[in-house]
Amino acid sequence: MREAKRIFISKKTVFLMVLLMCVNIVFFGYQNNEHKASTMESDTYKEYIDTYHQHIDETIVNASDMLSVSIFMDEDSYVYRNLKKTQADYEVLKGITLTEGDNQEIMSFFRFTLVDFLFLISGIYIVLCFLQERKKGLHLLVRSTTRGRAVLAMQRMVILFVGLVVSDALLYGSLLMITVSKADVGFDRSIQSISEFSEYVSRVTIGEYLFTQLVAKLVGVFLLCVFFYMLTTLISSSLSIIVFGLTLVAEYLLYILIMPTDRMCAFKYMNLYTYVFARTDYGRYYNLNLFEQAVDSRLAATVLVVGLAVIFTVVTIIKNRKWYPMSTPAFLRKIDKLIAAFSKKKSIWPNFFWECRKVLLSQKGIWIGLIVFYLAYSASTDSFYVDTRNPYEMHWYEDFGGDINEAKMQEVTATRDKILKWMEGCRKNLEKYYATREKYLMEGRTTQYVDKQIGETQAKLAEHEKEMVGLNIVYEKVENGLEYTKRTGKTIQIIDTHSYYLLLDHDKSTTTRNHLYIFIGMIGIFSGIIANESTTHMKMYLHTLYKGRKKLIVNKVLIIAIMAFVMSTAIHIIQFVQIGEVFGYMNLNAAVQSINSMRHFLLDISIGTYLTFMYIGRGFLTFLVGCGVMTISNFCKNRINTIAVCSGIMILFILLTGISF
Amino acid sequence: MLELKNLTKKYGDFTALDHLNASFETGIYGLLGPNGAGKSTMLNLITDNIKRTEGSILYNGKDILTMGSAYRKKIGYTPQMQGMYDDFTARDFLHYIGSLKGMKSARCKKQTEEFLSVVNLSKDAHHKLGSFSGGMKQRVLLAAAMLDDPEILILDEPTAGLDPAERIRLRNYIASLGENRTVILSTHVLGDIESIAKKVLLLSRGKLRHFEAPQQLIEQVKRELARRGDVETDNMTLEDIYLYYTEHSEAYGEQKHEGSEENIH
Repeated sequence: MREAKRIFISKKTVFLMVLLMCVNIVFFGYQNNEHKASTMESDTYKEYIDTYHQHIDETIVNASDMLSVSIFMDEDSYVYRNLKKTQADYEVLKGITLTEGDNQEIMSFFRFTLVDFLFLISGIYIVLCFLQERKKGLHLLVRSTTRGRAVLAMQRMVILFVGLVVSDALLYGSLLMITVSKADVGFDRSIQSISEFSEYVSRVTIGEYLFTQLVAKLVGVFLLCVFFYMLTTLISSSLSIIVFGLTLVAEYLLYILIMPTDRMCAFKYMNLYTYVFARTDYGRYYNLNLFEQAVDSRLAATVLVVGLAVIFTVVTIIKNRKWYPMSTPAFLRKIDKLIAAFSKKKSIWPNFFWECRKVLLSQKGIWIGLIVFYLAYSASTDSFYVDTRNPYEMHWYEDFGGDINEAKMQEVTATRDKILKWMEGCRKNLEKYYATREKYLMEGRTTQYVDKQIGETQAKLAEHEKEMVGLNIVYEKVENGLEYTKRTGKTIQIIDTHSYYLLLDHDKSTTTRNHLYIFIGMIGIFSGIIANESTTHMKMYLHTLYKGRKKLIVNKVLIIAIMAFVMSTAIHIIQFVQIGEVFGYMNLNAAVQSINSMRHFLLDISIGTYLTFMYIGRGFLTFLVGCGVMTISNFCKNRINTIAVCSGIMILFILLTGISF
Repeated sequence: MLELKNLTKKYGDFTALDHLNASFETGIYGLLGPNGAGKSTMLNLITDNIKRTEGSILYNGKDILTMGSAYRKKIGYTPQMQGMYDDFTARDFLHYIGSLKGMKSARCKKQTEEFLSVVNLSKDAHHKLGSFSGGMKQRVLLAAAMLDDPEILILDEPTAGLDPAERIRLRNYIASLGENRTVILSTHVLGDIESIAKKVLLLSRGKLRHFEAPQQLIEQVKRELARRGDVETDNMTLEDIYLYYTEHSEAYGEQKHEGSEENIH
């Protein structure tokens, strides 16, 4: 009870939970807006509902048909058993009632993966609280008490589980409340009413499915946390972090690299990443080939996760009973000697590198940076950028590329007139062909040849019309550009500006979200830059050293500058690359005023130069934020206080400026 | 030579250090006084960690504030603390401090190994400071203070937490350091001072009560106490004097405050 009180009733825990909730809700709000565009259109959805039972019947019939093929008839084979099982599983769905409803909001909930990471962070935090006594050197005292070993370990398992249940309820519950407040989800509808879960072969409602998934996540995260705790009882804390991190990376790589059709796909589906983090994959229907038996991947993964959780819990409790913190295995002593010999040969680093080491390694800045980058990357979705450009428009850009001037205008006008003439010719021909067709029909003659001509001419006219639509856009641009050139005397070019519009104007929400990620990253990385000197009692000591004042601060500022530009560029470049992959960047050497929205820009520079300065400017803004964090870190006694103050200022800024996501 | 002239530090109405005058040449100077006497304030003022309210600190005739980093190049400081960077090894820590002292790589590397050996930590130099005991950390800080051969060494409880053998070994080493530099040694282990200190500064309630060689100090205090007649002064040691001051600092402080304003050198 006291252990639970120590962990849960602490300023640090309350602060962390509030922070996680804020991040959770803010980013959910953003994703909610972004994904609305990509939810199923109502017509397609109606068609899905109408044809669902047909699809079920087809699946059953297909399985049945395949069973009659001789190569699938071996009753001891996986294929046979898989087909039989598929048939039986889909039989369950026969006659199920699918109800139309608003799936947009609930799908936003299902697609939001950040909350899973936040959930895991809350669990890891509880485990780190267990390890605090080791850091403070109290573990020997704790272990010398009657209930300080196995009993304490058992209590901690319960605390971890209860903590995760609370965290689960708070993090996912808050998102569900937002979802419910925005739309009538209809939790009593069958889960198959959402097209993404068409393959879920159980008769459950959306509410029941949600409950199952949340319990599955709870067990999955519990397993991960117990695994981490178990590692700390088997090996050193720092090595545990490395092994735990590598395990997560390995599971993630198995998830993304193995295709569903691969022989090794058991590792994709019986995978912790899939189980805890992958959203719609959890609802997919897939039978694993386990020793020629067809086993439901969800069931197999659940058995594995629950089994491992039980095993790890037992091992952790037993190991805690027998764990002797002072003992060092013989092989580690040998490694220690090798490290000692190597350590003497270490080269001397300049102070800058020591400061880098403190920020990036001691204060875990590198991990915070990588996590923020990953979150920013996973939140970016290139499917958001859909190329709806007229292909002829692109063709005309290539044809008329170059400076906008009178000659260009004449050239475009001449082409326009030519196409108009062609269109006119097509229309006249059509009239003529229609008349001929009418005449042939009256005379009872065959119209096959005329029909063909009509078809060809109609296709030609349609082609010219499309060409004309594209050319009109270009024409308008040249017309506006020429007017601008005459007025200002500046030379601008005719280019495709879709990608630039998105980068500079239309995709502001992504830019704002990226800024938010970067600022959160900067707060996380640099919150301890000076506060940690106070926590470690080094601040005054450093002041007594030759380079312990100005030079030390200069080095810290230099690190902030480098990290600011690295973070800013790395995260903003995701948007740049994703837009570029869809639309490309045409003529970066063109004058920046070639983009309509940039006509009032005063400097005569190219688009490439403008973008370079823009990213440098964003880097500089990030640098200023970093300096602000450092200043606050100087006045706060510890890192938590710094994070609290910085977060408060950021939230206040968002509220005052009314930035929307 | 380091000189403290009318050095005063006030925190609001409270006077932590009151018009202190002292000068230090080559040799070891012991700093004694009960808790709250003003020892840490004095060391923090000498290391330029806190602002003085009044007075000046001169090094070779120049105010240390005008000297700035040039003054810090001359000092080595061992604070009394148990913090430090837990994930740094002892060797890393010394390299780091060497870099902040502006030492050249080769010299820093050489002196690191030399002083690690002096404080008997060569075998543990590759271990993280987080796994070190308080005494070991104290020894690392002592080694760090000695890097770059500072002309003034300020040692705040350098032997705290050490076992007797280690304490005696380090005390002897500190004694050797006093041959060619100024060492200001604040400690509660009076035996350390009695045998090696050239002079002892006795602070009480922010005032410098005595500034003499240990034996002279004992004699003078004996005479004063005998005159007052409230204590047995035969066979009195420095430890007895320290205990007497700790117990009677308030009463003694008031009396001296009224009676004497002389400069003590």
